[in-house]
Amino acid sequence: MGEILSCVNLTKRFGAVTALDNLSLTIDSGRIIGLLGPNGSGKTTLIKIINGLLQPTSGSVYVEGDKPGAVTKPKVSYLPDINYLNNWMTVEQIVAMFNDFYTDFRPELAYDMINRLGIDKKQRLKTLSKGNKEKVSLILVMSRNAKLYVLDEPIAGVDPATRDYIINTIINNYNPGASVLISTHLISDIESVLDEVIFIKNGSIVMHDTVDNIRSQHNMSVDDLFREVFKW
Amino acid sequence: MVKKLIKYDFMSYLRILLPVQLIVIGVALINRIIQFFEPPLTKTGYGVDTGSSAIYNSIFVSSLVLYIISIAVCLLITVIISVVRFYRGMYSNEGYLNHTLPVTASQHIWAKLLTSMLFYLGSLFAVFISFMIITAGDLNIEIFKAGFYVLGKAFNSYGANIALYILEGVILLLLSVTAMYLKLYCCLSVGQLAKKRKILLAFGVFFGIYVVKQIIATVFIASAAVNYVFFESISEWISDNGIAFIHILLCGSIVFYAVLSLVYFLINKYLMSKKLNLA
Repeated sequence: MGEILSCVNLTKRFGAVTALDNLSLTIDSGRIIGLLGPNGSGKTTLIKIINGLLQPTSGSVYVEGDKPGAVTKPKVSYLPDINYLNNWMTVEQIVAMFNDFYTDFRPELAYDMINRLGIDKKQRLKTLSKGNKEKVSLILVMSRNAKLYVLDEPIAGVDPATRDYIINTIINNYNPGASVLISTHLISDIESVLDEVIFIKNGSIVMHDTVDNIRSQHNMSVDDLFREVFKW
Repeated sequence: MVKKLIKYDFMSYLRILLPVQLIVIGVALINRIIQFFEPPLTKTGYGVDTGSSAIYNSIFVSSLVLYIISIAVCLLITVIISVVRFYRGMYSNEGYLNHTLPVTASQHIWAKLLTSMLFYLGSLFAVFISFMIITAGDLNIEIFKAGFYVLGKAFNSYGANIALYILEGVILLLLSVTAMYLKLYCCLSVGQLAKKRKILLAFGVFFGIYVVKQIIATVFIASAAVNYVFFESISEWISDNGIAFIHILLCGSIVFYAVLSLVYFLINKYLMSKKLNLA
């Protein structure tokens, strides 16, 4: 298994606030990794740096050996934690846009999922419900045959049924040779699909281990261990 | 990739700017229709019935004022929408999508600039069409006749220089619009560096650039006043070589705007690729 992502001594400061503190980690291909931490722990900052949307104060990030930029963008499929799609577009137009720009995009897969949801492809994104908008965003991201999927809080703020739909969509559609990095604090919902977990606290990694090791060594679920580690 | 970016930028601009451009043409059409109701001229004055001519005049002048306002608004909105689209596409939520597309910062800037230029020229074309509508008929023919007459006279006096002047003028117009857009983009790119009040910083940068330009102009004028003898000899040369001077002035302005555009482009590229701050 090759190394898909590597962060070396990554630090990010916003004025006096240190969001990431000398963070180092490596992620291998073919794994589903949970990036777990409470609000404000630095998950989103790390994800934005991986995608080149923020620049680190010091340290480096490498995606398959390259720093974030035009070379790494075809390899990474990113789902932000906000509504980032052009609201004025129709579903059909946004699918066409992804198909135009990403050579690894699979439009037939995207349309298959959109049709199963009963979403009209002529409908404008701004007229979709919050849940459907999030589903369309996820469908677009998971319809790519990327090497690294980076999903920032994909199941936050949605009902349990939608949560299940999202998790199933991730599991059934990701490229098996790729890695999936899922940031969340809703651990119990995704624990069953994770291979590894990274606990992040105050911008530093406090644990990076396989789910199997955690269960056998600590004799508890990842959710229980999370509550233990992040107890106030 | 630039072509693909332009395709989607074009769609986003078109839905807002096409109606604005159509409004200018629509207002011109209304004015032209009003002209059909002009009371006939008589030997004694303007209109047989002074009451109806007064009503006509007030309606005609109002529609003319509306037409002039619509042109100003159209050109202003064209620039504003281009700037807003740049900000939204690059530094708001849409930036999360656009900056994760497999394209470079330069390609983004080129796409936004070319689309903005295209719509600016489109708005100028809409104004031209509206002018043709409002002056349709005898007036239109007279204006064209006068235009060709002046051009013919100029060709007789200055020869091929006129063609060069026109070419230099067009290049200068395009480059000055390019520099204007790149400057505005540059202000927004600096503004996004701020943690809060990004737009306020962008305005601050805009006025900062204005102040710097004013200082440079003042220093230049002051140096002209100090070196009076030198500038007097230059003015003598200008009066003897008027044709060459206009070429130097136009070409100098072209070089100035080209350098300015390049500087703004490079600043934008650096900030978008090395200092992106979608916090």
